[in-house]
Amino acid sequence: MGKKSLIEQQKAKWEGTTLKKVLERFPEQKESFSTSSWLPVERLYLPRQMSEEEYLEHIGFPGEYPFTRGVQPTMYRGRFWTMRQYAGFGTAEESNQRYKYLLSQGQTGLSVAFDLPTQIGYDSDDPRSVGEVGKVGVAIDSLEDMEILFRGIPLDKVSTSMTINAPAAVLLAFYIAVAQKQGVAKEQLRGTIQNDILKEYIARGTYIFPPKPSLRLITNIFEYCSKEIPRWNTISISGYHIREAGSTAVQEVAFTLADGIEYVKAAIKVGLDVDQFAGRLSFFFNAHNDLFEEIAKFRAARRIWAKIMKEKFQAKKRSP
Amino acid sequence: MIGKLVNGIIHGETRSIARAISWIENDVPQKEELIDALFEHTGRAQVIGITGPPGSGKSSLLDRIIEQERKRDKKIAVLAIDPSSPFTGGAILGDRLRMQKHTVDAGVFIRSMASRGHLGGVAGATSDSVKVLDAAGFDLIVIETIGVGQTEIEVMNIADLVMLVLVPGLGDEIQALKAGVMEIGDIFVVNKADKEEANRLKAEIEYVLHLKSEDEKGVKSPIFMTSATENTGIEELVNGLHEYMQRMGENGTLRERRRRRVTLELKKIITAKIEAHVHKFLETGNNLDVWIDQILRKKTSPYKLINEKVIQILKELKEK
Amino acid sequence: MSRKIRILISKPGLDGHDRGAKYIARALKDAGYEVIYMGIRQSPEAIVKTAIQEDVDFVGLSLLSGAHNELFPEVVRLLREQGANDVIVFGGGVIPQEDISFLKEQGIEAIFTPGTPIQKVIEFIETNKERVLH
Repeated sequence: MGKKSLIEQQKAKWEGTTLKKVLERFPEQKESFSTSSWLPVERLYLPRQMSEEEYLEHIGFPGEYPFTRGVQPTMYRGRFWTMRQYAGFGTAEESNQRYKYLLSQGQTGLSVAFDLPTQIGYDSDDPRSVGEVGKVGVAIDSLEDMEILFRGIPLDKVSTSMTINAPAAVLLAFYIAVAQKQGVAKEQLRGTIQNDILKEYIARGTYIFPPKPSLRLITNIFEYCSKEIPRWNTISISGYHIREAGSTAVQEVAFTLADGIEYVKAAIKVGLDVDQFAGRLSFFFNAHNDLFEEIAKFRAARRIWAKIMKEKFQAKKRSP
Repeated sequence: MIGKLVNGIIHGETRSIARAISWIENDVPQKEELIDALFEHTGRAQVIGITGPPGSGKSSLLDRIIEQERKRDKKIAVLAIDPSSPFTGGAILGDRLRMQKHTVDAGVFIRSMASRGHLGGVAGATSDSVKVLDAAGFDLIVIETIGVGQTEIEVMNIADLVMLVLVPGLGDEIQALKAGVMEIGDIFVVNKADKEEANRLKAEIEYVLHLKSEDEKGVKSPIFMTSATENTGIEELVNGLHEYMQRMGENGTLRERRRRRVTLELKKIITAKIEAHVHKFLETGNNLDVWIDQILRKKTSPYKLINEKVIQILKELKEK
Repeated sequence: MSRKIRILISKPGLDGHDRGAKYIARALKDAGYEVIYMGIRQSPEAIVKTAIQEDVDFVGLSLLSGAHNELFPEVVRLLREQGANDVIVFGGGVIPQEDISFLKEQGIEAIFTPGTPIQKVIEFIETNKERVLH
């Protein structure tokens, strides 16, 4: 037990004088305060005691391992994020019009919303699709629909994010086929498929197949994309839906990284090299209301994932 | 009203069956007349109890058993018991979630039942509801108990045969179980048999059964290995179940059990009726308070008063 | 005699957002009702079959995908077709204000939209339960 630091001494003094006086006259509104994740919020925070070595190890610099302070050294001072509004409704024609409008307004990418029959693998005329066709997203039943959806949109120029999970392989195949018909080589394609089936069982609900065969589809996509469309993000491992389904910030990160570990394990098990696919695993977290908690969450998630990849899976290459 | 309901039930009409079970659950005054009217139509169904710890997959296994029995063109009814909250009396009944593929099959009837304070793993209404389902012409009636452990032995007083479902990975669970529940199992099932420790569990059950004292007819309890999710071992289980039932019929066990069931039921209901009368007697006119005062003031001695009152109660009962 | 109110909670259609339905199920349980929870992706046929087998007094439907105008009335229609005239149907989810009067005309007696305090749902059941007590 060392001597109390100067700040700690001053804190004790503050508590005994300034704070005490005010608390006597104006007691606090609640006995305790907490974040929306039920983490306690103290009255006052002071600089944390940390050695320089500890600082460099846990916090470090932006763009460097363990990426606590960000994945890029300059972050958005250098380049903006891709701007895209989640869109898709009704028919492929209507959604195509919308995409063209959004691009004309300065959007730098597309984000495709599919309707529930498409997400669960039913045709629009399936009896189970009644009432759902073209709602919450665009109805895609065939390659022809997909061609209409991207008509007049040069796929070598835009990056496309598709919120599609259980049938992700089919929709990605459609996308590649549309590109080829446009004369765009698949190596040039950029974008993301959500492709995260585990969170569908946990929170979102649009699964089709049981976990094992679903995981095989996913690792097949990892392998195919690493060879054929290397600029494609093969999965968006999602905490967003888990949080929306009622988890805390801690649970959100815990479930999501656990899912991530499972995908990496599954891919390694079928013989993929971790550096061949892991750089294209992307994440999707919720941006909830409690600003400081959310900042801490994103920092923690980056650092934990970096450590998992390096220490547990011996990954060597950093993401592009 | 009762005639119409009885007619509906014996013609297997779903709404009548369902309403009759509600009558029993709600203990309506016409219940006794209903059961008596149905009585001549009962006695044909086989009644099976499924019990086992929570998470052992009873409902999923039952789902597979239904599938098998439907292939054999058997009509099946299920009574799935879940606990009522002792605080609010409310309940969430979710067992049928695992049996959804049979929802629209006219040959399957599933009814969720809250325990409504009844102990022993079933509901107070279970026994009479079995009679309704029997009269409605179901070949097989399955009672799925709550599944909480050692006190769950009442199902053996209702069912012809009890199937105990266990799963690997519950640690010392079986040690705790063997004291109570292990004795009531006629047939044992190791579900989730695709798990590693399944064979060890089987060996443990064999060991515990070896310790079990000779059963009524020296019949050895079979152990089946199943996986409800992988759909393995189900056909063997269903065959084994029917073979066991047949043997029980041949060696007289079934007859003895049904006799014992009627014996217990008679004792229970007669006792309950008299008890209800006693309670009513004690609660009317604040008699109890008067007697207590008499005893406390030494105006009478306790047994003298008790015997007087018992005679009075019996007299009242006789007059009724 | 001890009459219990039984309520079926289900999600018709293909929408997987079950947080609201589960919340309602849990809250109604805590209010002392017996709740049969069916979960997601149910057809109107399956909901009606279940409602009849379980002899429920109320059916609560939750839907967030926009298919309510098609699926909610279909549940009511099938219930009536099966002679279950005494079952009271209510709904909830992301339902635009302008659809509510149509749904009420179709026999869905109450629609609870996001932000509704649970007490409102319980009040609805308490006010209407006399009608189903038999």
